[in-house]
This record gives sequence, structure tokens and C-alpha cells, in this order.
Amino acid sequence: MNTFSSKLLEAAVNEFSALPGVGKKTALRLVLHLLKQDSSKVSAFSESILRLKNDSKICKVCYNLSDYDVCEICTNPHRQSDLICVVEDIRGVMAIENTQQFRGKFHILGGRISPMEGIGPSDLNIDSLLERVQSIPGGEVILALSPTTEGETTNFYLFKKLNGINVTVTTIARGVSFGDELEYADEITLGRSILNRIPYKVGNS
Amino acid sequence: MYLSKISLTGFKNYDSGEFELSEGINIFYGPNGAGKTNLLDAVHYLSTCKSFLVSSDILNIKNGTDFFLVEGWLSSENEENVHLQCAVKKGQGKIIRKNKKEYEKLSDHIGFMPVVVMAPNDQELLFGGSAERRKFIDSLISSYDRLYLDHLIAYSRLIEQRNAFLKQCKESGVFRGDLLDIYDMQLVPHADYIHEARENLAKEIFPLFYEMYAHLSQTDEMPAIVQKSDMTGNSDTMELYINAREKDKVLLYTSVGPHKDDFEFYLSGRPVKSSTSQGQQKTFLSALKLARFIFIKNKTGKTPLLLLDDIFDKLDENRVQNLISIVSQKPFGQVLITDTGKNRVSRLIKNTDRSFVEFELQYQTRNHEQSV
Ligand SMILES: [Zn+2]
Repeated sequence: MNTFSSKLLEAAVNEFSALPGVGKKTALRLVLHLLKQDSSKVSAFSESILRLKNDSKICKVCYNLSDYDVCEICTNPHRQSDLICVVEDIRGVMAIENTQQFRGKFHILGGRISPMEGIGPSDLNIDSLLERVQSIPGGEVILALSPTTEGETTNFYLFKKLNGINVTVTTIARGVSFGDELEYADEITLGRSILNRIPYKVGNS
Repeated sequence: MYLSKISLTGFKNYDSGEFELSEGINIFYGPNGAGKTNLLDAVHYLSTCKSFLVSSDILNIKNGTDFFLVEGWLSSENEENVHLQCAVKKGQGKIIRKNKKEYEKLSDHIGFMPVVVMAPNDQELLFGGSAERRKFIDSLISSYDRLYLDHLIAYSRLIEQRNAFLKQCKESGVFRGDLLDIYDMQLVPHADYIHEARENLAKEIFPLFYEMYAHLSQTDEMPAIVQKSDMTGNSDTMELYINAREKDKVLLYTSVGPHKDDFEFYLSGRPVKSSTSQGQQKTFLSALKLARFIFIKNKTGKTPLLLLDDIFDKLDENRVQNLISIVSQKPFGQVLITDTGKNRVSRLIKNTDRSFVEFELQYQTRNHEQSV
């Protein structure tokens, strides 16, 4: 695997194998596959990646990935503004959107509190969440972080911060066992839990 | 249910080996290096998916091969026979199958065929750190309380995060009390559960242990196990963590809680570790293992398989005789014993009315010897 006939081939394989979950063997297979394609197809491939990086934006309101300054979920007039579902990252948005059961809006924290990984509350989009919540008196905030120790800590932290603001704090009652990540929860279960959410109580998620 | 046959392939010093076992007492004798202990370890694998001697599975693969396979056949009067397989392949990890069906999680198999081992390395329990003793207690509780392990895992993770947080505060110079509150409040329910379970265990197992010690030693020496915990007599766990904060900020770890528990062993008031003979220490540990056996039997209704490795290790003949008399009666069931000398054990068993079978193990290969 270490002897490449071409420096160009080696460079491409190195780039691919730097991706998470891609080993040298897989990288070589992908690169050889691309080599066999028409130039136009490969151009489209690399173009899409460049545009993703250069042109995509982070929604100013909810931090979702978006083509515009404010994302299509936030600007959709048919979605409830006073119902905010808090998730860790874009995968949480996708998992919940796939259920087609949720008609509110999102807030992406950008991770969860984990000192072991050097992530503290100030590294997350918490201040902006609190600001948003101030503007929806009587509304509801759903805490939908993954049911891991770190997710629980973050839920709990947010709950304490939201205490005193005039909103209802709920959590999704999921039939997902401890340690399962939100994105792996099946759609039906997740869809049911987002409808049957329960008031947040310490230790109930 | 008992283990009627075991087969080993590529396991430690065994190219292959097969043993038809008796429902009663099985004695394996032979010189060091013949693979007596390895055979017991294979049985341990079938029960717990791991070795009681070495922590790495790979080290149990015979030199020159790339996998091992241990198979066991369990027989019983009223239930279907069961076939177990435990396989480890280099680079592919470990598989356990029951009746050819692979378990999704190894932990689902734990408890199906419980074993209790008595071996020379039990003295780790005495001379090792407090973690060894907590592990012993924790595995006992986990054998009948599934929730306990969940609490233990969640608790340990929170402690790791809390410790990392303390270090982070020190590095950044900013101390966020609000987040520490969160960690402490989250720790409380787990700490309370763990502590209560350990106290209850102590209440139940100590009497069994004292009884076993008396049987084994035939003396009036008074053994005692004292549980040392910050939680004992403390009614407010939250306060415990809060009061430790100033100290923790300096130490950069969490200095109180059930993760700091220890168990001290005494014999007639003297610390077992420093002021008793090797024979007394071994008797103490053996009694603890016998108590563990009775306890599992009482709690789960299952009769564990008893593995007595190197039965004469540090015990005089009288105490070995006492031990054999105890384990040849109910509630003990199938027993596997190893010894270096021929006839030593069988002569003592003949004093009881228990049936037994003997296996002579020959020295096999020169280059791969692990048993002691
Ligand atoms: Zn948005």
C-alpha cells in the first residue's frame, strides 16, 4: 500500500483516507473509481464539495446549515415560532425532520458539555438560545439531546438556565435505551416521542 | 445443569483437547505446564467471556495459530442440552454463541453459567489496591442486580467528567460553580443507589462469610470485613460533594464518594494483610469465595460451577480436607480441582462419600507454558 506509481494518486488517496471512517484501502478504491468516471462527473463531484464549503451558510437564528442567512425552517411561516427543539447538531435536526411529526423550529447547540473533550458551556450556542427563548413568552422548549451522560448534563444545565424564563421545558420521551444516539433511533419511535413529550424533570430522560 | 464436556482448540498450550466431565468432582493432576490452570481458564471463558489470569484475549491464543475456540456442552435432567462456543480470532475480536446463535452483546451471556474461582492470584484482593476489592463487590452485586451496573457506569462517567472539569477550571483560571452544581446533583442519585446496594450486600454476605470461615478453619478466630465509605452515616450526599469542593479544586479530582470506598479485612482484630500467616490469609480469601458461591446460589437459584485452582496452595492438609468436605456437599455441585500431585486430592475425597473422576495431564509443549 505504501508504493504508489503516481504522486497524484498518492495525494488523492491521502486526502480521502483523512476522512473519518475511511481507511487506506477504501480510499484507494474510491480514488480508482473516480479515475474511471467522465471528467464532467468528477468536476461535478469536486465542485459540489467546494460549493458546500464556500457557499453554505450557518443560519443566524438556529445555527442549522443553510443556503441563506436564515434557513428555510426558520423562515417557514407554517412552523410554530414558539416551539423550539434543542438538538446537538445537524444530525439531530435530520432525525427529527425525518419523522415528519414536528412543526416547530430548532436550535442547534453545536455539541454537548464534555470537559473530557474540552467542551464547556461557553463553547455552545447557549446564550443565543436564551435570547431566543426570552422572545417567546408562554412558549415551549424541547430538550432533545442524546440520552448519554453528556447529553443529560447539557439538558440539566439548560434546564437550570431556562428556569425563571416564562416557557415550558419538556423532553422527548423516547423508547431509546441509554447510550443510543438520537440519529439511530427509529423514525416511528422518535416520531411518537416528539408528539408525546413530557415535562422535563431531573433524571427523567 | 452441569458441564458434561469441554473442548479446547488453539487455547494456550492446547492444540486441541477434549474432556468428558463428571457432574461431581473432577480432579486434574500433572506437572506444572501441563495445562491444568488453562483448562479451568477455558471454563471461565465459557462463563464470563474472559480469562481469570490475563487481561488480553490474544495472549490466550496458542503460539503459531491465529484463533482459539473453547466449546462446552451443558447437560441437565429436565432442560434441553446447551452448546456454548467462545472464539477469539486475531484482529476480529471475540464471539460467544449459545446453540450456534451468536449473542449480540457479550454481557447478555454473563450469568447464564456462573462460575466461582479460587486461585493463587486471589491474594490480589488482599494486597492489591482498593479497586480490586470494589471490583469483587461490584461483580457480586451485578450478578443479580442489572440496574447496579448501569448506575456504576453512569456514575464513573460523571466522575471522569467532573475530574476533567476540575482540571479545566485550573487551566483556564475560571471556576464555574454552576456546572459543578450540575455534576454534583447528577452524581447524587447514582451514589446513593451504589452505596445502598453495597451496604445491603455487606449485610447479606458477611454472615455467610463468617460461617464459611469457621467451617474452613475449625477455629474460633473472628474474621471481619469493615466497609469504609465516605457515605456511611452521611445523610446528605449533595452536601458531601459540596464540602469536598475546596479540596477537590486543589487535588484536581473528586476526593469523596463510593468510587473511593474500600473494604478492610480483619482476623480477631488484627489486619489480615499485615499481621496474619499465609495460611490464615488463604483461608480468609477461600471463605470469601465460598460465601460468594452460596450468595450467587441464593440470589439466582443457579448452582455456580466451582473452580479450585492449585488447591494445596498455602493451605495445610487439614484445611484442604475441610474445604473438600464443604464443597462435596449441597449446595455445591460440579467442582473442578487442579493439583500437582497424584492421589493427594482423591485420598481426601475418599473421606467423603462424593464420587469423583481423575484426569492426568501430561506436559505438552515446551515453548508455550503459562500455568503456574
Ligand atoms: Zn434556522
